[in-house]
Amino acid sequence: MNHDNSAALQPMEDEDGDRISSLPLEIIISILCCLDIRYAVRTSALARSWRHHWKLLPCLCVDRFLPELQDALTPDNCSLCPVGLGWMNKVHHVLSSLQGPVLVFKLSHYFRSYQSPKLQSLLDLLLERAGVQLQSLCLFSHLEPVFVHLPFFHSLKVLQLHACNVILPTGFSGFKRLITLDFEKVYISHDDFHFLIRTSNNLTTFRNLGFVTANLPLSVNLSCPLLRHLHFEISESIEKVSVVSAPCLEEAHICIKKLTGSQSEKFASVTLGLLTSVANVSSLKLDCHVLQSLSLVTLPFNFTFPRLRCLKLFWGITTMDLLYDTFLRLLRSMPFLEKLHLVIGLWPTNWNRNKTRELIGWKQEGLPCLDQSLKRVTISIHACDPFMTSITVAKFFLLNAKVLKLMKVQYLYQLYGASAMSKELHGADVTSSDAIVVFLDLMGNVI
Amino acid sequence: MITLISSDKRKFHVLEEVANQSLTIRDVIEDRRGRRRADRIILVTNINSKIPEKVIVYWLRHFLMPEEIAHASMSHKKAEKLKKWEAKFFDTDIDTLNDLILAADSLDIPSLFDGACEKVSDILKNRSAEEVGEISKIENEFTHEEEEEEIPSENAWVWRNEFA
Repeated sequence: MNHDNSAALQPMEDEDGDRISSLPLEIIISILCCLDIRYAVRTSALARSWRHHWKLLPCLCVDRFLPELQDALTPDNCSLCPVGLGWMNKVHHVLSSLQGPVLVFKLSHYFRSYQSPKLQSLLDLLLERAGVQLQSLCLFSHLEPVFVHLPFFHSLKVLQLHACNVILPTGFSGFKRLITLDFEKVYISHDDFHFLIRTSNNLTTFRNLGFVTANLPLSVNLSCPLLRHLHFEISESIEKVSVVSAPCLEEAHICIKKLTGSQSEKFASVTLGLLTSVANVSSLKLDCHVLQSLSLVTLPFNFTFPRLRCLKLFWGITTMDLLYDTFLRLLRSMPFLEKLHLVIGLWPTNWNRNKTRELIGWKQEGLPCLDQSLKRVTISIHACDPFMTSITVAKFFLLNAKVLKLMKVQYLYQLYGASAMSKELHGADVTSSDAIVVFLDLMGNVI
Repeated sequence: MITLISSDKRKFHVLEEVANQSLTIRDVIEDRRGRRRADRIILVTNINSKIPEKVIVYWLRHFLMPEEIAHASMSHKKAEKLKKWEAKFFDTDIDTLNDLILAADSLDIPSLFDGACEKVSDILKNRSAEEVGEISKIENEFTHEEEEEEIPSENAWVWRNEFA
């Protein structure tokens, strides 16, 4: 806007002194908040007025995994180097130097299990310093699981734990304000887990990966009135998952921990239980393992996702015999699907070549999403595709999707097969009159 | 269409939907709804004209890409593009950043405020005090003793690049 006049701009005010220091203190603090605590403390050497600014910080973040630190590390000390001896004391010192209430606390490092007591003393100090005002607590242990007696931070909004063995505080009555719960490789007892979920009524984001329980497999019932994003990994420790009620759920990403073939059978009921209760989501990501266990037998016949607009399917290493049928069934259950993203991984070596050929001429009737809504299809090819199954899939959509606007084919691995594919697709029958096919390389550039 | 007037009396015409990204302006418009057209003029007194230009460019970019789209699962690439664009947008001198922060603060544009703060913090980190002093013109009035001994020893560990 008004670019021509920019030469006539009024000169900037003449004083070109120190303008950062003249910013209001709150703003300086919000700038320092973006920094790891080390860099924030370093600013104390900038000028006398800056000397104690860092002590006003409402947050303490120490992250071993800052990208700029990664560069400074040699491969030797980079590998699994546990926390140094004085490290906890330093954090302890900084924490006790902070003057204001601490709202955000984040530690990310290679902890050893035997360091749990020291970590616990930090948390106890945190409770003393921050008390009920703490809003965000993140603990990442990258080496061994640590034991944590979680203090009762009443106003906690964000809780992120990675490789922790958690025990809820005594007298715990629920994190009433918790919005984000992010667990990865967390060990927690059944009762504690259920109690935590049941009492967190304001939860909007829930991510649970690599969940482990020591005792019997767990059956999880989620009933979260405000839940919007769910990312759930189903593992051996989980027997059954069902989303009893989540009226606000928008995005669900469900995957199964990678397993050998024989084990995956017993997850069928799990995935089904989860799927039937996420019928209201508008965006869904599914792993191929989930798809595999959703065989024709287990998917209820007239089951639909009435609001689903976006689907991302990770489609890869699996026995594919049932997959095409299941895939059609899945398409049928999504009458309003607009965007489909297929991520195609490694194909099984025993894939029946004839079956692929057979399917090339595939014409399907009576799939509402293909007739009315499906506008964009993206096919990402992650590995080499010796049987050109991706061509089959692409042709299928060109032939059947009546309102298709854009098809993207992206090669994420190498361009092998791209020319064959483009030749094949140029000769294909395209039903939609304004469909465009684009080929992209790894960087998203048009080939 | 509303008109913003900067402290050096330049006028900027912006679509209401675009300017709505500033919570302050949105509130003002809301207050004045239904009144005369002359009221659609908003004085932005504390910033000079270079900044509204930048702010409007920022608004336009974000207006073209509403946040819901950026966050939906299917468009990570779009979000990445926006990120790249923002990196370029914020790659400017520290005075401009300073003004952007002030403008974003007074106009209440959270994403712009956070972005600019992050950029300034990027400038502060991984640089020695002298380097930062040069860039930001922060005057270092420490005595020699303070500089040599007291401050480094106070929190010695933050100066070493060890794992903490």
